[in-house]
Amino acid sequence: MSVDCFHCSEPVPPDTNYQVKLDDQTYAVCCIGCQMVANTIIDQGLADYYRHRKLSQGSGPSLPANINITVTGISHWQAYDDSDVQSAFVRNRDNDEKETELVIDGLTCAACVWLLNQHVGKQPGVLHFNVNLTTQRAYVHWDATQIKLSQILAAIDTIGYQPSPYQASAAAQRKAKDKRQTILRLGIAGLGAAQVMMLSFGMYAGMAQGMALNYLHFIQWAALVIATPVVLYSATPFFRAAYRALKNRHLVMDVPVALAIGAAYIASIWATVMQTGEVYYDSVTMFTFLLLLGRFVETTARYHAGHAGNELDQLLPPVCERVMGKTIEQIAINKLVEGDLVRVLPGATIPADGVLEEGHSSINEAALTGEFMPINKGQGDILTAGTINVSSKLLMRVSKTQDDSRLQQILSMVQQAHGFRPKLSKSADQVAHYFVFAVLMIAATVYISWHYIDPQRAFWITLSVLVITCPCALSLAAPTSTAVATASLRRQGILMTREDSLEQIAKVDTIVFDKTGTLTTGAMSLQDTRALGDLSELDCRLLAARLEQESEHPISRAFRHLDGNAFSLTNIVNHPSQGISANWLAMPSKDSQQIRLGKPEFVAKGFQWLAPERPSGEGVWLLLGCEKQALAWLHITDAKRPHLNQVMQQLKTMGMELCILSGDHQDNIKELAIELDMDDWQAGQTPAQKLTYIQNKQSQGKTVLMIGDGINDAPVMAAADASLAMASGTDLSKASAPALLLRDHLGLISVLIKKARQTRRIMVQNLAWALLYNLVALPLAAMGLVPPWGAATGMSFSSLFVVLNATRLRRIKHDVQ
Amino acid sequence: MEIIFLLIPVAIILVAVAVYALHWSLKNGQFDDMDSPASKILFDDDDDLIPDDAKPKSKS
Repeated sequence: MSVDCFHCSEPVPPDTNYQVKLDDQTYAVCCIGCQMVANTIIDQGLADYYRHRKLSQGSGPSLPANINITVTGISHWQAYDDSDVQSAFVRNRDNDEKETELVIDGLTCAACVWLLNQHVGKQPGVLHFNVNLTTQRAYVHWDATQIKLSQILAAIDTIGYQPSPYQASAAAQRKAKDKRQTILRLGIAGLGAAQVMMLSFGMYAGMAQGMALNYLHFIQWAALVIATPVVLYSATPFFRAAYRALKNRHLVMDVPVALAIGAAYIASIWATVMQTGEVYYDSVTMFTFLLLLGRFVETTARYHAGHAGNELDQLLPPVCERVMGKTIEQIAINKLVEGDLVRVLPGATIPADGVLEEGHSSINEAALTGEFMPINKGQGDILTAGTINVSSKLLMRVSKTQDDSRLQQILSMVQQAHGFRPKLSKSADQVAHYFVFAVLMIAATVYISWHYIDPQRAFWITLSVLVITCPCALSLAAPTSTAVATASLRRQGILMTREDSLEQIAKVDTIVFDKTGTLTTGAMSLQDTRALGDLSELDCRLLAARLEQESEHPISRAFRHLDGNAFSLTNIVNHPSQGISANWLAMPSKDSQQIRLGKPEFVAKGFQWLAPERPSGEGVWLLLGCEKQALAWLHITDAKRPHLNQVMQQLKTMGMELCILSGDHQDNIKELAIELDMDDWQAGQTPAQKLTYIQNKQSQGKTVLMIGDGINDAPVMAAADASLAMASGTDLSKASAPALLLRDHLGLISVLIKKARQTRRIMVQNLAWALLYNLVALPLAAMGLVPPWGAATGMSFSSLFVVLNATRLRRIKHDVQ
Repeated sequence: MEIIFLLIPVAIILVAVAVYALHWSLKNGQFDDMDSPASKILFDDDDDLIPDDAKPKSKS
């Protein structure tokens, strides 16, 4: 039976014993990070957070409060007090007050907002603190004489969120401005439509009961006045889009919309001034409002920032150490120039692209390749900004400034890929193309025929045809469905960054998995402990945990969840690439003896006994030994994600073809593929080979979904018909995939595919309804039987049907725990 | 029915005021976060707003 962490909802690893007490009840938490954060929250009197969180997230599966909580000390944040660093993102106000915006990572719901506002907002010196859940940013205004920025950042950190400076790119600022303008347009259109509708009801009554002409004229003029800003301001996006489309010889939905709104408006002005014919102000304003509403709903889904981290600055530290002759100075990273000599200590992030000048070390390049085993680098080797120096300090000669770095290049490539929309046109657009053409043809025919029958009515009847067939329902069909589906998916933990990929996902019949980081957790974990001597398994683990506390090597992460203070050790020495040694005061004999943990040869040679035979099984086997004997084998490997077998079976019953494409060795892949009953597997693949494989499948007519996590998967993911990135993946892979898992549970794949298929069905239903409605309404309009009120009513009703049908996508039928 | 010659222009003026109010609240940033206010109103964090004599005798 597995318990979930009280704070972050991740499963609690066995034989850990971290607990928190709240209201006389004890709850289990998964690691020391969660324990510290939960205790801070409870001690500050903010335990209501947990109640509010339940309320906010409702009955659905709870999103993890944070992935990998680590609480860093205040010293980590002190670099941000430096005025050079602050000049980049902090604004000064009078009276020693400062303000800035921070990106906050780890926000999941309104309870988090409440917690942050309560805790940080109440710090002395903080004048204003406001968190925005949609954009995942916080605005903070503080008195620099009472509190320092580093203290504010530390306060955010202690309750479990990761702050970082926000530098608004021009694109982000424009997006914010666009959103406000859209809402203003929508508001004006809505208010205008409501007013004009009321006036029009008066006119409809007048048509039925008879109305004095002076009142009729007055109401028509009033309607003209209200409709004018709606057409000239709120409807401009349609006119612009139609103009652009026609310039490029494309027939899009915006063309008949612009035509109908424009013609109806001008004709109504003519009718008002010349006192002849009908006025269509109600239809014009209603169109504008409903169509703007549809587009707004579509774009709001996109504004949801499910993850911060597209900015390069998130990946690099703010300061670094530059060596000038004999002195070492701390400077802001953006001040580095080519040729500078920089010192990088163990555990620090490499600040720029460069060449290793002095020293040997191992570098963790996970940010770039997803590969968690560090790579040894020596003099003359190339170092990349954003990677982490693991074992020893080194000196590096900077070769490229921040703007030219390899990381920046990859980021630009990813942004370019975003803008590029290949091959496929959405099915709704295709329908629109034919539909628009048909409508224009029919309108022309109607005009010409009526010209011979009764020229006076010809124009008005054609107008009513254009208005009634105006694809309101058609325009709303796709956006409302995808918007509702996207919101529903997000509640279950899947984030769509591009909704149009839902259509592609519905067609998927082949799924390609990366192995490391996707099917496996991508991190070292302690799989097995085999006691060989007098010490119990648990004690061996705890001893190893204490030894590994001092190590920066990724292997030490496998021990992080254990209590590192159970044993006290002295003289801990890290032997790079070999292991760790220390002196241990073993009870009850009370004499200190040396113990070693690491490679079997290192341990055995140190004590001069023979190393036992290494057990079989992939991964790393560490030997723990003391002077007398070998104490235990500790098996560290990359663990498989839970429930893999069920997930694969479920996908197979949905008719999917499953394959593993990995750069890993053949034996590891083969074993996994057979166990999971995969249809195909390829090992030792370079990214280029993976790309070829996917293209082969596509030429066979298959639609491929690629699931991965590393940056080197990015070009492959772009080539696949659809792709999905893991939550724990690199920031860059998350930025390049159209869909992203917020929880690392592979069962969400089938949820996603089922929802995509359902969305497709509903979209087809909506399109069918829209066409049917038009088929009925068109002949009626062509025969001159539809008065303005009929057009407005018919259009509203058909749009309402489409929207209500789309809300069926909200239901969460297939939940995954 | 001549009253509509007065009422309709008044209505138009009111709409203009409403549009201005919308514009002001947009500039004031009230539409920037449309998610958290929805749940915030349900939180039980208004203890300091309850008048003293309405509070329960013993606070648990």
